[in-house]
Amino acid sequence: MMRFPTPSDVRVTLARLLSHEVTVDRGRIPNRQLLGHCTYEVVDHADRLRAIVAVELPLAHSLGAAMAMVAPDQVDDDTPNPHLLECAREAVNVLVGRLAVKNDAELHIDPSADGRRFWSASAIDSSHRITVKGYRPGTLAILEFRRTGLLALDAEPSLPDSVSSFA
Amino acid sequence: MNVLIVDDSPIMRKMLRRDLRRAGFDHLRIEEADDGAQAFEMLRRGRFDVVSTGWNMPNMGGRELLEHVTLNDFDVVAGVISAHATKAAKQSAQQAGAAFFVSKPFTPDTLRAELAEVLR
Repeated sequence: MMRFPTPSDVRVTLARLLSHEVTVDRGRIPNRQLLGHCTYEVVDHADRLRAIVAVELPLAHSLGAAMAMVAPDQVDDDTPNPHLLECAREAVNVLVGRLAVKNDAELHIDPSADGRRFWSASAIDSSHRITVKGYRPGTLAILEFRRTGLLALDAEPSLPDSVSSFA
Repeated sequence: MNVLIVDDSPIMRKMLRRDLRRAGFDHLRIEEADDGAQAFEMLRRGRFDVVSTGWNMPNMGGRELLEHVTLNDFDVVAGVISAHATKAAKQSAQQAGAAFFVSKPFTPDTLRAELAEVLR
């Protein structure tokens, strides 16, 4: 069973990274309509899938804008902004670093994979509602990959050959 | 002092530049590489005093770059700045010759504290 960053871990990590005040509240199931662009696969040193991290688009834009020092009124959440999403990916990468340290495991985002393949709203293990001061809030959720019980959103899942636990 | 920053994220390289300046390291002449392979070529061709590398990067990661620095006997102080600061990564970096390992997220204060000796 994976150990997940606490709300305090997430708040402190993002506040340091973004140099902004950050509040973190209990999350909910992310809005599926908002997950199209920011769902990441987290893999280990052997490229085995370990977790999925999903970020609602407005939050991804907020994280990216705060990193890139783009003012809130310059962010348009109706259209995915590639530059802000690339910056947001780095913020998620830093949070995945916390996940790695908490589990003493080598974990990183697989840049070539789309986590929507394995996303399951019913299997969320950790969810945070994150607000970067001045920007729109949103939900960031993490689920630990388990071989059984995880359904692909749109297609038959392509499962790795073996999945072993962290323990 | 000539410093080479290696990270596959342009925004992280920009943030590191900014925070090094905010930490008071105004005397640095900074160049950038976006992966280990590019960094290795720059080290071969140029003169650098310090190289700071990310860990998980395409086209040669941080560990491999550190090994090349040691193998080629480059006269440079090399270390890591990475979000993936696990015990194994730190040990691996040290074995490969890293003089420092700074965890992301960094701040000007942490950079000042952890790199003062290296960047003076």
